[in-house]
Amino acid sequence: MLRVLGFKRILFLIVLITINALLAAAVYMHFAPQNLTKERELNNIRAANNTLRTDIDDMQIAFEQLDEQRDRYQELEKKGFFDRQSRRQAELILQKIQERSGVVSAAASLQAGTFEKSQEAEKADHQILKSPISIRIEAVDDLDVFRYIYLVNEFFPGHVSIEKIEIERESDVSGTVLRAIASGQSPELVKANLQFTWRTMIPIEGNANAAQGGTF
Amino acid sequence: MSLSFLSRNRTVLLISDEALFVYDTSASGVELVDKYDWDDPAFEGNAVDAISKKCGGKPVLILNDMVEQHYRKEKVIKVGAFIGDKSTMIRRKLNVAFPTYPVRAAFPLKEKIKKAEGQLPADVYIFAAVPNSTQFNQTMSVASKSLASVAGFCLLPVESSDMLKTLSEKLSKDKRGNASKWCVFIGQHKNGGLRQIVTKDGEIALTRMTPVCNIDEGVQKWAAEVHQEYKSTMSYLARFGYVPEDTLESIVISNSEAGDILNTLVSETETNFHTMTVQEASQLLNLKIGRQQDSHYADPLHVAWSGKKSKFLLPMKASQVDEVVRPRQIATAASLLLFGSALFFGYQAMTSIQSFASVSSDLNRENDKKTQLEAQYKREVEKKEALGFNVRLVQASIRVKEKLDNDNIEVIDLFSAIGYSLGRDLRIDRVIVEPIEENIVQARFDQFVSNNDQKEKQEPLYSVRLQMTYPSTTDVERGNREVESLNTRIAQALPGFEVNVTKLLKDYEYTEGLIVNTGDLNNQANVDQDFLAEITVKGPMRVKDE
Repeated sequence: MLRVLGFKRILFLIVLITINALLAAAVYMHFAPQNLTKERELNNIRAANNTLRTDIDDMQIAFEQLDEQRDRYQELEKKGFFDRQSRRQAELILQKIQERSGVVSAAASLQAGTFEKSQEAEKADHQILKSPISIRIEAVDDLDVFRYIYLVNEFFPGHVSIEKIEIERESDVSGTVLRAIASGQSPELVKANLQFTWRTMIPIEGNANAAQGGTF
Repeated sequence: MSLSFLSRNRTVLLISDEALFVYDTSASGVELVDKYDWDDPAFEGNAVDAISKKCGGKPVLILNDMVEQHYRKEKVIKVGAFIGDKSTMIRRKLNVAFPTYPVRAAFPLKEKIKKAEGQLPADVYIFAAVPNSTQFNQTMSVASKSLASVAGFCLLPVESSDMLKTLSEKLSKDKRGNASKWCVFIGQHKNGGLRQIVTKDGEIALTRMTPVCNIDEGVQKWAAEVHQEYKSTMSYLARFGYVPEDTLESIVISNSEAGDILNTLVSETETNFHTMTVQEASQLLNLKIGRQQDSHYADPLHVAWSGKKSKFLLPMKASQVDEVVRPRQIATAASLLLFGSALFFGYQAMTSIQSFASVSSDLNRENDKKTQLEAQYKREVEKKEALGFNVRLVQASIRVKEKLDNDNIEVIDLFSAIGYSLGRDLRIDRVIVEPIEENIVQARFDQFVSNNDQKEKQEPLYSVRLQMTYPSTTDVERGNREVESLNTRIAQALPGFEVNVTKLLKDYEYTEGLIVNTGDLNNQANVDQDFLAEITVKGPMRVKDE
């Protein structure tokens, strides 16, 4: 091969191959990943700058709005939005709601709390604590179920989001049912499965032993 | 490194019986570098040195101008696709025609043999071969050791046949406008031999190499000898099909004095006889041959013509040629490819560097901006905190609450609107409220198709399925009307929601199938099931955050 092609030609080919390999490596192993990283970094900084600008704009609002915001904040505070989701408190509230709503029975299961990522909360050194709640209700009338939902929404501390509601009429009003009602019993005509998520916003440094699960 | 098959700057090795002539061809002309006698002990070293150093290692074209060249006209019968490969057949015939000559090739002529009674249609080829001579081996050894690319190994008379055609066209066009059928080209080469090439319809028909005296021995004598050789060639032409009615151009390369004598010698004949110097011929052919000391030598013309060709008429095949040509051609092609890819990667690298510089500059600018904004933000926070106000917590908590509210459903209002729409007579047996499962793939696709529109796209957050049971005795059409009417009422009560009947009691639309049982069905076990109707409400329509 060396005799036919000659040293110079082979050297030239080797040099070309080396140049190609070096350039390819530079392009695909150095420049391309570095460009990608830089572009990501740039996008992140741009997004952060936009957020900062919005925050500054928000902070430069008039004093009247400041008062309004302070009122809303105090309302949230009063509603328990910054509470650490005490299970004992939840137990008492759920008992009260069951009594006031008029449902025959309500078996609630409160799962252990977990932390949810929220950039907004993190800005104030807080985080979102969320606890899923499952409730199985038996009632005479569907109105009782609706009342139960209303009371949960109104009186539960923090924020309660509805995940799923399933209400089903199990049986019709018959003579037997009417006789049972007349004798002071509460026949279960309606059954409902409710799934909620309970959220509050707590300081980041206080997240240890945040919540424990329970059934009420 | 030179590009053998693209460049027209070549070194031409002209193999004659006496010596190897090395020519350097370029855009400016043809220069005889030197001639190297075959029996010179320093032949190889000198010739290699001439190619690699004096000619700069340019691609080499080897032209065979020796006396011993063999040509044979052969018929190759046209075969069908199933009988065999034509090239294999030609290779076999070549092998049979020239079994002892390793350097050979075939060239198809325009002439064809048509199908006739007792005769199959055939193509006509010129088979050419040269012997495995010492000169050939010495030349290939020189070409190999010079390490220059080899453009090809060709026969001078064949490669110059199209030059004759061009010359003939130019000369005859001046008088009649048509190329002559026959053309005779005569020129003395520097080795002393007189090369005569005859073409018929632009294709080689005959070639001769005969010795003539040197012009220095007397112009009259030289002209007489050339004329004698010309007459001999003309006498052969009848054997190749020439008849006096055919048109013929005769061209002799000579100096002007010898040309005049030749013109007087042939004046009695009727042929178009032209004498011209090699410079005049090169002008007619638009070839640059540069300054030539002797205007009666024709080899610079042949060398210039063949040297500028990008494709040869009859490149000769031989293992000795292939051993040198192929690896170098592959190496050249690989070099070209690698050079191209290096350019591409270089361009990519430049683009990447520019992009990197641009992004880095933007990044620095944004970082500066961030520093300024953070300082401004800090000042604003300090200003508010001076008023006894944890502005970060207040604003963050309000935003979090707003987002949670936005993602939640006002279920009491929804049930109230549905209950109001139901009226007194209807009742719902089952209600299922659940979040709508997002189709992640579709969402990604939408984002890809329209990145900007995605933020403004409104999607329902929840679906509410309302199921109603009707007894089997219900009048179906009436029940369906009731369901549709309820659907309309709910839609009116919940503007901004999607409200649809997802199941009627029984659907009589053309999209549904139907089983009809008629006649006496009393004996059949007949358990009718209740009808189930369903209305689905989707909403509220909210802008989904990414």
